[in-house]
This record gives sequence, C-alpha cells and structure tokens, in this order.
Amino acid sequence: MNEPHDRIERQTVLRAPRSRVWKMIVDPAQFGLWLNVRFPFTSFAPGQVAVGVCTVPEFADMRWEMVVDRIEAEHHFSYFWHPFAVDKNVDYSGEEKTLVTFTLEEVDGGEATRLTVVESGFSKVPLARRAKAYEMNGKGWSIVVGSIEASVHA
Amino acid sequence: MQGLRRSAPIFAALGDETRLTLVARLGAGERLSTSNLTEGTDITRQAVTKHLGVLEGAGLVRSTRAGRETLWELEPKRLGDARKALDSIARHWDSALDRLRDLVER
Repeated sequence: MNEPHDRIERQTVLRAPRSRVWKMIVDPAQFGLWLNVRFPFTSFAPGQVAVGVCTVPEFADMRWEMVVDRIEAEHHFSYFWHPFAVDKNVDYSGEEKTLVTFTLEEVDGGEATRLTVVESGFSKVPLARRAKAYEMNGKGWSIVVGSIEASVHA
Repeated sequence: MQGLRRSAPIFAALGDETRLTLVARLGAGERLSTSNLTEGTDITRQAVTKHLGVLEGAGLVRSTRAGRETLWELEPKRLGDARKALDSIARHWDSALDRLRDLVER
C-alpha cells in the first residue's frame, strides 16, 4: 500500500550560505538552539548515541536521545529517535524509531540554502498507525473527521 | 505533546482497514446496529463485533443496547483529539524551522 503519510516533509529556503546552515545542524550546541536540546559534548559522529536534555520549559530536564545515522559534509545529516517520547512514565525503548534527515542544497548561486527535513517511519510507531487511516477509501483523514463534525453540529 | 501519547491507542485502533471502514460508516452520524455494520462486508458478524470492541476500547465509538441489538455511534471528540495530535507533529517541525530561520538569517 502506498503510504505517503508515513512521513512528514518540510522544505524551506533560508537566506544564508550552506556552510552556515550546516553548522546549525552538525554542531551540537547550535543544533540545540533550534531543536531545544542541550548536549554535554561538542561533536556528532555516525553511530553515536547522542543523549541530551530538553530545554523547552514545559519538558525541562527531559532526556533527549537520538542515534546519529549519516553525516555527509554540508549535504546530509540524519538520526533515528523516538518522536515525542515525552512521557517519563513510559518506556519507549521497545518501539521503532523514526528517521529524521536534513538535506542541504545551495540555491541562488550559494547565497541561499534549500533545507529539506524528512521524518519517516511513522507507520511503525503507535502514534502514527494513522498512515493507513489516512488512506482509507481514498479519502483524507480530515474529510472523515470533517463529516463527523458536520453531522454532530448539524 | 502529551496528547500524542494519549492518542496512540486511537491510531492503533485505526490502523486496520476494517475498523476504518466501520468508523467511516458511523461517520454519517447515524446509530447503526452490529447487523447494519456487518452488511456489505465480507467478514462475519463475530469479527465485526470484535473490531467494534477494539474501537470502543480506544474510546472511538460507544454502544447502547436496544432490545436484542447493540447500536453503535461515534465519539467525535476522540477523533478530534487524534487529529490534533497528528497536526502537532507537523507543527513541531514548522516551529523548529522558524527558529532556525531566525538564527541563520539575522
């Protein structure tokens, strides 16, 4: 079955050189600035189990753990993790992880950078059995919910 | 984000084509009996009852007795919760990318 909803994909063009954007991803301190995590080390390496602490106030002191997958200079960075594993009382270790990939391309002659973020593998984790849900009868999930709401509020 | 964890049983319950079909049929808003819901499927009434039990366990549908029949209807609030949970995954990335933009473009 075709499962386009097994993944979330976002693409954006940043008005900054690729080397600058790359640094924001590959440097643990800078990575933490926009992904809200603090790591007690200064570099990532493939295969590394990178453990940090969440810096979002409502999830303060929560453990952040990811397994670094591939690092290809200024082009590709990826890691596996348990998405939204935010409940301290739940052991997520038995669940499948999703794969997050960052891909960078130069645009506008190097003045800007196209960043593509893909998080995939949701169909394997409980929170996203929805992949199939979305596909049903060729209708979108929102259409189903919309029709339910319409019937309730009619 | 806690909503995602709470919604996991909903996604699991919906991760099955038969159950989705049942939810879609109940989506019209009408209360339907187990017999109604078995009509037009190629599975047994017993199997349909089992699937409805899973949906009920996830809080997606509720049942009432009417004589010898069991009538089923949707719990729309739970479906709304699930949708919100899904949206929040995507919003996480949108806000992270906004923060990144602020950092690299300033």
